[in-house]
Amino acid sequence: MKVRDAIDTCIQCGFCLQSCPTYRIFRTEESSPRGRIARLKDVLSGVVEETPETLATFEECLGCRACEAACPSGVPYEEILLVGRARLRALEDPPPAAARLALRLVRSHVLLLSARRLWRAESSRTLRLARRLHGRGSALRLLAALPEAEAVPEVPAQPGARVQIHRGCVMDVVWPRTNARAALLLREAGLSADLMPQPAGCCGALHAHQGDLPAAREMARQVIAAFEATGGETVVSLAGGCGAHLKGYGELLADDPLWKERAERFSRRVEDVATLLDRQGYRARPPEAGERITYQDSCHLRNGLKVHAAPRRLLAGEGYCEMEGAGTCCGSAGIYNLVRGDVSDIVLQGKVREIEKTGAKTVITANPGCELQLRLGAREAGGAFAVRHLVDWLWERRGDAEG
Amino acid sequence: MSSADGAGSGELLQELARRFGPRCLRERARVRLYGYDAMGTAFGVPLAVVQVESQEDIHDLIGIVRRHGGKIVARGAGTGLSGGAVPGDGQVVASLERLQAVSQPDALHRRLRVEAGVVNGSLDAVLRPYGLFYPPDPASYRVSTIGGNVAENAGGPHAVKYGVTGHRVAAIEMTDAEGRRGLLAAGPWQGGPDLAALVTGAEGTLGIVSAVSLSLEERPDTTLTMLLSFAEIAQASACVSAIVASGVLPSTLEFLDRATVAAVETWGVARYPEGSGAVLLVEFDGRPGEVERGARNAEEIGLANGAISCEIARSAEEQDALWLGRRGAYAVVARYGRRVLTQDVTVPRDRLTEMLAAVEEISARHGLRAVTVGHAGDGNLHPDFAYDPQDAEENARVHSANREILAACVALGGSITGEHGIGTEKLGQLEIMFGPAELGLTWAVRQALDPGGLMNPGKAVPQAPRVRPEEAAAACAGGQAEAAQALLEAVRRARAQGQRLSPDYCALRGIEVSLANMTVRVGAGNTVAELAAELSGQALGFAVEPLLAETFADLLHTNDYGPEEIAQGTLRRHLLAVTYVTGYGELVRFGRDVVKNVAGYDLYRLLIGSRGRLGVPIELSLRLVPRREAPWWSRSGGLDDYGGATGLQRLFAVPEGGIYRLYLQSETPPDGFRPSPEAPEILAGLRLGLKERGGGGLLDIAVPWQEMERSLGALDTPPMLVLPSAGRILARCARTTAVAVAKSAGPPSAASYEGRALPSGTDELARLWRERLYAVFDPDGILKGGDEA
Repeated sequence: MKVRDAIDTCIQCGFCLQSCPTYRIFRTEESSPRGRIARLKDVLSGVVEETPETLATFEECLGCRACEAACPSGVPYEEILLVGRARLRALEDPPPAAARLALRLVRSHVLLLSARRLWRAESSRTLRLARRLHGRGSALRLLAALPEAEAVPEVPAQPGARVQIHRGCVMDVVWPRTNARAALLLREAGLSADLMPQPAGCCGALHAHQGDLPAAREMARQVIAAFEATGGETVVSLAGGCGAHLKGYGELLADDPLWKERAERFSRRVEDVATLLDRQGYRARPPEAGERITYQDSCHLRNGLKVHAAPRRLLAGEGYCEMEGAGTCCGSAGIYNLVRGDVSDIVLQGKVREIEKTGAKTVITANPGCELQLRLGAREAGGAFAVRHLVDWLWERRGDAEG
Repeated sequence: MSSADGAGSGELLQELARRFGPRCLRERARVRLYGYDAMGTAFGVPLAVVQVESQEDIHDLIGIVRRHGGKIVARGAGTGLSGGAVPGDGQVVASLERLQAVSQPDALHRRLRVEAGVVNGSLDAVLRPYGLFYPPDPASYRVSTIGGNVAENAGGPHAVKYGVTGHRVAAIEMTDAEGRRGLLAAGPWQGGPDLAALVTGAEGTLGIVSAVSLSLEERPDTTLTMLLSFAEIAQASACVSAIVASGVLPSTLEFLDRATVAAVETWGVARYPEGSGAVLLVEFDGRPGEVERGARNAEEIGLANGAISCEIARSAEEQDALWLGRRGAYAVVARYGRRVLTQDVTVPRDRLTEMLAAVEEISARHGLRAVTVGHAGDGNLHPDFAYDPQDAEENARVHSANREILAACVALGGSITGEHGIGTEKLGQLEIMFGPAELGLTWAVRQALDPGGLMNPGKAVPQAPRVRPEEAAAACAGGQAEAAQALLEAVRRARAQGQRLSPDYCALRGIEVSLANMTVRVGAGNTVAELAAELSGQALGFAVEPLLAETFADLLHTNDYGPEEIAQGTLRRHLLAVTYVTGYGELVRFGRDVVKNVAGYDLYRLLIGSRGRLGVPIELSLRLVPRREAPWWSRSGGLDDYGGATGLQRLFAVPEGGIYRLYLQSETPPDGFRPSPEAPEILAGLRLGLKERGGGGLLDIAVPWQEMERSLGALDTPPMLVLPSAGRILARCARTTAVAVAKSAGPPSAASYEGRALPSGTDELARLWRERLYAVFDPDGILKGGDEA
């Protein structure tokens, strides 16, 4: 959709306001989805000058898309957001150094491979160092919250498997065992599943969200080609944000005549791991009353892929407690916590309070970014709760489900 | 729109920036974002936006803007549908979004104090643990603020059973256009005209509301949703009237017409049974037995009226599925055009069929398609037109159709806006509903309370000259025409001769019951007992049971009530319209025979408690309610023991041997209470004793909760009756010292208001406003009666 048409779908009803984490913090129209849309309209029509200040609100946005879920008239907000951010980038207002570094790192296959090897060998030492330096900038704080590298289970190759797991970038460096466990769980649930051969690389979600659309398109083409080469029918990502972005490839490459159709076909094949497991009727051992757990939605899984009920069915049991505002962002939002650590921290504090209200000892999530952010929250709240990826939690309780 | 001139606005900006620092937004890019609301067609660029965080801020803001000749618009979340909070160019927006405090709920008296910026939808989480809820739920409830709800007197689907925002506002904390801070309490508390009713729905033209005290409801145990499908619209609307008249009231009763059903199905939002030409969504809440009874009754009535199917949902998920189409209707309509013009007409419930036919005929004649959904249980319909405002020809067609629909609704006895407000959208259309006398009086009230026109100019009420008394007779019509004519004559004479007027209510009689609309019109001279006799044996009745007032004129002037107050509230919850002659000499009618009506100022509920100082009532329209008679009367000791009872219907206390025996009627008697079938006789005896002349003067006071024991201690002689929920004490007492002690607590006032200390001068606002209103309504003081002494 052309951005002006997208803007025109907004009828200014304001139903998005309360769903927006930044609006709830600042209580100004400028920090709301409706205000951001009106701002871009003003900028595009020339009523308001286009400057880093007038576009700053697009950087402040978490991009969680909760407003899309609340919108009665179907405004494609993310498209508007990405245009705003791309225009901001065009004004040469670069993201912070840490964010630039992260974006460069995940684009390079070589760097990713070495990072993966390095992390396996040196994670505990790096973490010790990072934790000692803790408090010196948001990048280090996040690094310090990472989990140590753990043994990755063997996944015997299954050439031509129907379900292909997109390993991703950071996911493949820090959480390779979660990817592997997902493949094994899907097999246990009766599907033929395998990890996509390296290197499919990063899906480009972070680049698109930072306004670098050319890079994002290039990376999309690589992922599509890699997937097509496997002959698989379904592509799965263990990161909610990546999954939603993969689903949007059709839109991303809509103006590329050579790739449009391939991208659309690819988009139709994107699925999510919880949905697949749930559809197969897979169940792990339910949580007992004593081991209280709760679930934090990944924004993009919930609002982008519209996956809401499946993970909850997989987690159902006496010990499950739904958190107030589980569907609202934790403040991770891709690399938002690097770019806008100040706002991200306020959002995270609110989230930690809600988690504490549930009394949960474990918080389950479905996205590495959220997992890392919540681990940060736990570290700074004295580690009152553990954080698990949905797949890891299911893995630890596999095979002995009741009934 | 007027505003500060160039030089003045520069100084105004400077001073605002000095006082409010970064909370004063002034960059063009930022203030433009406060130029719209959800209506989408009104737009203005304010001079500045100030994010206020306290009543202190509001006071200072008004002072600064006033000094520099600017104008102020208060704004909540900007989700209004009539442009009420859209600023004019150069005005200053007071953003109330940061006023976020919520008190701890007072479960015993079912009260909650919330600041203006609190979002309606956020109250549920606060109230759930206390077993309470706040019923008004406008479609925007998840995002709209309580301040905005009060400004527009917001309604919503639950209004059919629980009323609208105005019925829930027990007290208002506000700052008026001259910077005076004050508290306006509704009902029996403050006495004098009901100023809180006047401010509710005034769209911020009389001042800025910073906090309100809300009266809450017991949370229902269960909810049941039912979907009735009909082939024809007429069958559905006949079914609505029949359900309403049966006296088993649903908590919501929503309607979707054929065009909506088709649109919702086309976009795949929901599916309805084959052949559905109209759909009713009926919801019942309450105790399980009550809910099942309601559902059975509605199903029978539905089938008798030709329903082709009846689906019932008991679980939350099934209920959500039935609601999908209704909730998604607006969005679906929005896809048909760039803008949606949402109308908001309300007609008496038994005129729904005619209204729907008129909408269809008028739309067709203008080549338009109306998609109509509505709160059928209230007679409130939202015909929507999707259109392109930039297409001049289509735009013109839409707006002439709109005006014709409003005229049709007024001809059916309805209101041009049930819950969206006048704002700027309908400012030019109030004249369809009101004559020159009403418009002139309304403008005079606005000018009296905001002489400088500082607050939200150009909204809610149009500028209009006041009619001269000698021309007022022209407006005279209707059943009471002769009596009204005589009254006008009498007022004119009294004014000319400088005499007091003593109105004779004997001629003002006549009772017209409409069961299908759940309303009744009564003459001011009719007695409450006469109405009760008229309604005996019916499923519906009049809720207020005054202890002392005989006629409806008395009831209106004194705001009397009895032990039913705890469940039914006072007259303000049941009064729909009043026809009256002002002391100035105008014959006016405010309100309509509909439960939802936000057209113009509420100059009918204003009369409640006014002691006849504003005008002489001729006819009142009242809401009827289903009779609910619980079998249980029980009694105990102690004044505060009633907290444990659910389904409480009546409550009073009398002194008996040194303690206060509490009598209550409820569905489940609280622990430790004993059955007391004799309670109604005790009450009847007390009423007689209190009315009897002799045996000392009658003392009728309301005191703050905290002072209740002390006042009672001073009296302690029968006949005496205490209504603990309202703090009201009635007694016959000759001992002047005892009376003095009892009265020394003073009325429940600002200082004692829910235990919070408010700034001094709080009562001053109400006193001054009353004086100014008397000057407008009764300039020569001809209505100053003995009551006033």
